[in-house]
Amino acid sequence: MKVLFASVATLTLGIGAAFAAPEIGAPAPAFTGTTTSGDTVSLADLAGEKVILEWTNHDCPFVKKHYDAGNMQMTQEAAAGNGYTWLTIISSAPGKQGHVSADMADDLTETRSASPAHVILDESGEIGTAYAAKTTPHMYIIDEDGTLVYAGGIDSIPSADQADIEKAENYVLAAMANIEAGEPVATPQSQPYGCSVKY
Amino acid sequence: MRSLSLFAAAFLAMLVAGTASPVQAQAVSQPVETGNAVSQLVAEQAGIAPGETIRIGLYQELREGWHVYWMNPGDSGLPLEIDWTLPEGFETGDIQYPLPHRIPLGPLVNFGHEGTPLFMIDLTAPADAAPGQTVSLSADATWLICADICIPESATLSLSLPVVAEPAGADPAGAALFAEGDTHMPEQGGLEAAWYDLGGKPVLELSGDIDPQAEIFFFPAAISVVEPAAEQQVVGIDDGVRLFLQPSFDYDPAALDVLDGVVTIGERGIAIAAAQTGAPAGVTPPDAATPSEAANAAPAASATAPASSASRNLFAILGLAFLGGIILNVMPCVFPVIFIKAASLAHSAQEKRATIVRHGFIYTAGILVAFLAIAGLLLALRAGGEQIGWGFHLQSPVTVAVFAIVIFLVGLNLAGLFEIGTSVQGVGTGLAAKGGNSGAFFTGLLAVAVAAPCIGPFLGVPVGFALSAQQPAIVGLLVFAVMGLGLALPYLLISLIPGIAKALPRPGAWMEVFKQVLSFAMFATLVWLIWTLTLQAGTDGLVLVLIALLLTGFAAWAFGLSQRSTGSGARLFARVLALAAIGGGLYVLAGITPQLRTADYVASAPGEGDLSKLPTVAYSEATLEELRAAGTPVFIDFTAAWCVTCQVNKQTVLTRQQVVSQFHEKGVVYMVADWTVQDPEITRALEAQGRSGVPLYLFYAPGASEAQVLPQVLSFDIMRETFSVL
Repeated sequence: MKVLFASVATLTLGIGAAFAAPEIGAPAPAFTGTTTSGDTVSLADLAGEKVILEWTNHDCPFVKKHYDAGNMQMTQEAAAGNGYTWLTIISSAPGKQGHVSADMADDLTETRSASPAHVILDESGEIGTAYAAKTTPHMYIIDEDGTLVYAGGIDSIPSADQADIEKAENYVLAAMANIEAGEPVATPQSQPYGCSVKY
Repeated sequence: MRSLSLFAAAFLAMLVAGTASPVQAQAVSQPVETGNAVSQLVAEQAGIAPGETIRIGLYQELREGWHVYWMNPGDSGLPLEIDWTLPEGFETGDIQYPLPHRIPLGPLVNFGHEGTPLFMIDLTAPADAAPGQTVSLSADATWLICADICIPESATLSLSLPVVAEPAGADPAGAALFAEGDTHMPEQGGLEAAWYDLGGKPVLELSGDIDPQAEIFFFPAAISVVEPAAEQQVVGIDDGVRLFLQPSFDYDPAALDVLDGVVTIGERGIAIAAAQTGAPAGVTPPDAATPSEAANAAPAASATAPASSASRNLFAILGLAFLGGIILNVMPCVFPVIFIKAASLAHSAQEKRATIVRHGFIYTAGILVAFLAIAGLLLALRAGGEQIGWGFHLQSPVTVAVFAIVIFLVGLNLAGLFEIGTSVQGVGTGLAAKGGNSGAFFTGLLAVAVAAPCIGPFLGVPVGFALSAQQPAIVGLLVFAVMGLGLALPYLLISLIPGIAKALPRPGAWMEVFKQVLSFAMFATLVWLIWTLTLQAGTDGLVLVLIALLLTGFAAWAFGLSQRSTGSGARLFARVLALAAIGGGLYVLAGITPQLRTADYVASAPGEGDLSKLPTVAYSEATLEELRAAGTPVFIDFTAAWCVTCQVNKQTVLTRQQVVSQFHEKGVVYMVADWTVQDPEITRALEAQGRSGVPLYLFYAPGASEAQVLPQVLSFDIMRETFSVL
């Protein structure tokens, strides 16, 4: 009965809360997801760690732009070097573009030489909705206190053209540099660009 | 002779040019196919004169089901980009976009174009361009084209255009495309537009030629200023409409002098550039509208929320209402009533199928009638301007007392003091069937009556939605009807599917015992109703309701006696006694009068330095304003004595020492908005949050412009997390 009570209450709230973006400077929305290895990982487990969330869809041209050019992998390595836990999240619904099995997701990580700490399969779109993830890629940075400090695009030039990467400012690298220097994040929010998340 | 042949050659050349197919005409480029689109550069005029400005454009034929993007693509996507290579001195203007459409993708919304969009661009020739030459314009165009998947495409297009001494006139192929394209361009002017900031959100006011029945939507030109997928609430005002918009992260009222974009009114589209003004006095968002304002806005009848999002919402709400209705069956105050019915069904397991099915439908009808009557009454009262919401019937102590008596009677019946309906001994079968029909109907009515206090946690959202001022009455009734179907469903299934009824345990002596056990659930509900009534009407009311219950008990005993007595004289006497007792009970009830009770809360506030109680103050708009202005965090508990969920939250979370000490540590004021009896100020505050019932928990962090709405079922974790921002 209690479980029923709680789940119905949650459902009620889910409807009540629209697709609303989380607030920068506020605690990042809690979530629990299943990784490709079948483990669950939750934001609460990562308390005290800096976390980066990357929404992805391997077939999206904007994702390809950053992976084919090595930009996303470079950003992941820089994040790992700075002690971040990088979570790649796939919110594509079954049957939609970018939806993959756990094995396929691991394969993609390997073939693309990516280095996320975990890839989370969010086919219900629950985590995506909690963060109002709109595009692939869409990036979020959570600091050690669990506060959301950045949400937006990977960089400053919205295009699918690899040639733009070196002209653009990588907002994730910039935010990490700000955090490292103990400064507030200079660009805490930007317009994410890319394909829509395939909920 | 020589000049004549030259003339003839020129004439022949003109003939050739004139009969050439349009595709080869100079003012249209070769089409380029890129997989999902065919693109061409086109010009409206056959040539350009020195110093003249003509329109050229990118014309695309998009694959069926695919779209490209407007200047503000919405939640995802990219607008068209064109990189021009032009002859010396030639200049192009900005891309002029056709009217955008909303393209929803799950929770996201894009703004874009389908079919055959024409993107127009002004081209100006330098004053010293030499007539007679042909210039070549080259465009590197890139665009993103999407169906459910997205593909970036690009093409290099070039257009040759003769420079002519005098304006050249229309190009046959190009002019037709521009004539068609013009029908899809936004009208320039025609609407007066202004915008202002209201509590951190932009509000757009439009006046002019506006069809109030049409769907109205504002497409903002700038990205990240207005949330693309958010509902735009449209409210009619004297000479136009007011659109309440949701800000996006880049919204900054200090920097946004002009809010420009396109307003669509039905099929029409009008470009606007709204200048910022001060917010007029007295404007409130539709949700928070005061009764007088809502009444003023109503005659304009133009509150047309975008249909698509509203209908999507409606399905979710109906789903919740249905689920909530089903769950009501197992609530402690409802279950015994349903059980009576299931028990009578088990009794009749040998009866004709048709009779069982009929009872199922009559029971459902009883529930629907009760729900629709309540909904109709609520809606009618609200239309009359009453400040009431769900649970209103429990705000009157007299109603609570009547419920107490009904619950008491049901309990006494379960306990076996008297019998009702089909189970009366010695009644003929014909009568039993008849009694069964009205009994089934009555059970339906009763189920709704006793369900009312238990509705809180599950049905708050749907009921709030159903009763909100923005919904037509028919939608409100629909929500209540679906809720009723949910409540009726389990019993209806038992009656429709023979297997279930057969699987029910065989009736026997155990059932009498079980009924007696269930009677205590009713008596427990009675205890709670009496407590509620004491809070509403004080000890005077308590004495009166207890006397009424005493008389009710006597009436039930006398009625039971009449059922068991054999002599007709004794039976009549017992029944007269029962009627007299119940009449006396009702007479006593009329004496109950409500007492206002805000004072209780002030009295229950802790003394200086007392950390064992919540730092309590009673709710008032003025007090809340003061506290917020002083930067004091405030937690508001919208509660009522008759609200079970409220009491559970209070006992299991809010008054626990670990929560109480957090209130003191963080300096949070615990403000109680007690809705046990009617209070227009509290009803208004609930409506501002889109609710029409309790519980509702709000938290105002220091300096926050809006309240944080907490879940209806609280926990220690929720409280800790809420206070963690302090």
